Amino acid sequence: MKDIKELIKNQKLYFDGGFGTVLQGMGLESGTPPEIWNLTNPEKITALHKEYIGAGSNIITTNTFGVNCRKYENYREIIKAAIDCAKEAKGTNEDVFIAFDMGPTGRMLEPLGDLPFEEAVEIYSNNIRAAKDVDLIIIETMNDSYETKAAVLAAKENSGLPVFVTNAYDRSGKLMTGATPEAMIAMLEGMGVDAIGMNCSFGPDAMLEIIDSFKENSSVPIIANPNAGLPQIKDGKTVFDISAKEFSEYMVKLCEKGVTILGGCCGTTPEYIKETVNATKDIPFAGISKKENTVVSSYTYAVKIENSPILIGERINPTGKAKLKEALRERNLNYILNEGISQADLGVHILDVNVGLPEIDEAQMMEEVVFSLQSVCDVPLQIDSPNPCVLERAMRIYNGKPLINSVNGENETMDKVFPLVKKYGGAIIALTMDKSGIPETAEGRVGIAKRIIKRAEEYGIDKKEIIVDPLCLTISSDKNSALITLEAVRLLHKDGIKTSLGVSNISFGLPERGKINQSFFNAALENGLNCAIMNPFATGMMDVYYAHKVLHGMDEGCSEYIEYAQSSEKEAVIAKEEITLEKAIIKGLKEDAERETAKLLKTKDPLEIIDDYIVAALGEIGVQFEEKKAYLPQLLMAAEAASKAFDVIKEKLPKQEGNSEKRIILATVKGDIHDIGKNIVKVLMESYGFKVYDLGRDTEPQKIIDCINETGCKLVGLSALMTTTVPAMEETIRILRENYSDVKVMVGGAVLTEEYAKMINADVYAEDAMAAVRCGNEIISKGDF
Amino acid sequence: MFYHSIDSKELKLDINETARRLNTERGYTNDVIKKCDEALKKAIECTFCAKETVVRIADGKVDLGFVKIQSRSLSKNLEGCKSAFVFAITLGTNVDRLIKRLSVTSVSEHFITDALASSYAEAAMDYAEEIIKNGKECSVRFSPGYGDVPLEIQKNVIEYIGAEKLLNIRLGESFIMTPAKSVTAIMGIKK
Repeated sequence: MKDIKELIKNQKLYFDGGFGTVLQGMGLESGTPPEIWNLTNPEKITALHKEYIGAGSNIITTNTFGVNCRKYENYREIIKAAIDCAKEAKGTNEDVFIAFDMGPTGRMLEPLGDLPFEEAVEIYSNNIRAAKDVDLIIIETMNDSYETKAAVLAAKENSGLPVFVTNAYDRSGKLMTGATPEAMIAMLEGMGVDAIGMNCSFGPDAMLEIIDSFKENSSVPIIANPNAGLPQIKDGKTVFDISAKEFSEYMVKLCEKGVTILGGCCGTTPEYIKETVNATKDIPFAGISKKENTVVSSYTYAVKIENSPILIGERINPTGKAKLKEALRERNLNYILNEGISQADLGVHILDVNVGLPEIDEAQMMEEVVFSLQSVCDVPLQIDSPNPCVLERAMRIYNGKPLINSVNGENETMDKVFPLVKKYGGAIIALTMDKSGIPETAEGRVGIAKRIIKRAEEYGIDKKEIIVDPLCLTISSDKNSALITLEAVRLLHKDGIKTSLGVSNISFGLPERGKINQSFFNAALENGLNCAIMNPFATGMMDVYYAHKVLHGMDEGCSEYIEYAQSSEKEAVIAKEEITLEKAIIKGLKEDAERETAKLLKTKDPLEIIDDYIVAALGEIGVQFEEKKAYLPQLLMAAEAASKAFDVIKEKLPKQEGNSEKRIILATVKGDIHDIGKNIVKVLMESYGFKVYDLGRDTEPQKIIDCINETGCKLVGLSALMTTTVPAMEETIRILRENYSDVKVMVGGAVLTEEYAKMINADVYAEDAMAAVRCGNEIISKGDF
Repeated sequence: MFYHSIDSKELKLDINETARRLNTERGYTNDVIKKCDEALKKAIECTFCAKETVVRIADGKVDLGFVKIQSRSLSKNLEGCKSAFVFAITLGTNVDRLIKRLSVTSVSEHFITDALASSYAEAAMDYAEEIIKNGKECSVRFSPGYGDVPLEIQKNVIEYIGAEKLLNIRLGESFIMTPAKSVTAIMGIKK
């Protein structure tokens, strides 16, 4: 048998064409899934494979596109029958390869949908374990990058077969969930996929619009299996609008642009393949060119690490950050996510994520933070931990190709981290230190860097994936440390090795650190630094970044700089109009509320501010709301502004311990994914000084019990929006009462009523958010638990 | 068979519907609501698709060709119709992402944007309805889950009109659609 992995590097190959659409012409009733015929009409399936082979297809795909264990109990039987048909058609022909076909599960993965990532991996794994005697796996028509990753991971974990992947791009040249071809290429090449491309969707003309981005970015062979145009209904039958001849003309263009594996999808027939083979067979093989770009990606786009400097936001790292430490201990994901979103809004290209604290389960937290961040923010992530187990948990569920922080020159570390990078994909930060410490010379550090690169190559990881951090040590302990680091950056840059630095380390132990940091950052950029791990809130650093780009010809028309300069100007000139804290809260002006609170704190006692200003303002908006003079959006805006004011005051207040505080656990019950109501209650309770433990939506009862055990808080607020989840609320209350005799449960949500609340054994029913605050205050003032 | 995209600028919000969803009086707005509206309009990628089907009604049972439904309310709604349009709209994945992100950053913007998005979904249904009708007289559109029409037929509706492929709509286990701001409906053709 020939080796298809080698073959695709040296010649063009041809896939087959449509299956379901052709079978319909052979009598398959619309509404009957094509895979059923594997069992009922195997001779017809075999005949169609034979026709495609006759037309010139080298790769025939099994009739298994829609098969999986969630749809068919007898999926193994269907898969075996499908492969038997393909085997019979192939016979002893050594030039024909059988591709085991896998399509989308038909479900949307979390966080957008409700299918957990690992369940998707398991569905595909079951398919692959059932597929014997095939030559390769084709994963096709995928329009979500996360589902694509699940399928590829399943293929890699359950077989040693070559893996081809084609995605369905829409008119905008992106997948349904937003990924560009660059992003898909980065992720799939990182995972070791053998050939990458596009199929189905809008026809060959649409593919011509995105083929260039494949050619520019892919280091592996490119596949194009388009539809025969768009489906239309004629006389009650589905037909496609591009003829075999036209189709082949488009395929010629795709082939000339660098596609080396060609075939068809919906609406194409053996005739289309025959025309395509005839029209393209004499076009010379385009060859495969390896690309030297260092690329990382998120689930929507890729970031290239080239000439223009890359900013890596450093704020999600507990070192020296008391608030983040507290957020991690309390599992306050919202705080962490906001740290990510606000850095992204300031323009960082990558977010560093480090959640290492001795008292928490780092691997669990890392997985949770990476998944949650990717639900709300599409900037690529740098997964930062010294612990390979933590790295693996995050790399596995990461949607895209991450940056990994880090390895060093110790073999032990490299031997643990490099296999992970090989399996899941990623670029890696390499620290120039080993067992004997950090070399005192630039040449010494470059030496370690080269050793790391060599070791990576032994694992099959290309040099371009290694970004070297030659380390900067504070100048307060060694006057030459900056010079050594800068020299190392220069030498590495000269050798074409990418570099990164944790820039602010340079000033550790000195006053006014920003002044040193920005000067050092500028010098490092001048020496060719590619990536800086930095704080985007430090304006001096951002000044250096934008100025560097404009001065080095990286900012066409100075447009980025002008936009940046104007936005900082604007902040400076905004007139401080006459505003009081009360007004700011009532009008829902968050920034003003913060500023006015800070001003008041200079002259007034914190508790006085709370009573005289914040509570007074909330009282007024509350009355306006109840009198229908203000509306819910205004009430919420006021509550947010009040929360911001509280945050400022909290920093001045002595930390209140344990039960003296007003506290409540809030959760939307199991099965209910609506959290707007719960969030409204949360912000209002916070604005009234409650400490809220927010467990999110779709909450398992056990999670609430864990939280009670951890915090001792026995007031629980549950929300349910759908009638179908009220039983889950009842069950949650039952479990809570079983565990604690003194727990108080408040319930609310659109479908609940006073009577319903009694029926399911809740203590209190709160009809709206204001009522929740009132009830919460009453329960706590009674203090009977 | 129809498949179209709709520019979000074409979508006109119903002033009463929007006020009801926002919990405000008719026409009320403020800076935050305006800001949310602008961001939302940028995120909307509205598409719709539709297909005609036959209708047969007997003893409170409606046969739509691709599914049979025991429903008094739909029988009444489709009374006298021999055929019907089945259609779906979606505002796309980006709207879900925007709303999810706001759920972390701001409760007021989250609430406002979610309410506005629901209003835009209704506006998209109105817009699609006019195109699909093309002057024909039709019954009031009826969605799975209304009256006694079971939500479970959502699966058949989505399959029949090809919404999975054309609009990228997926059904979750509890018959909730992704993207969340998607609506399907059945509308009887009277003349």
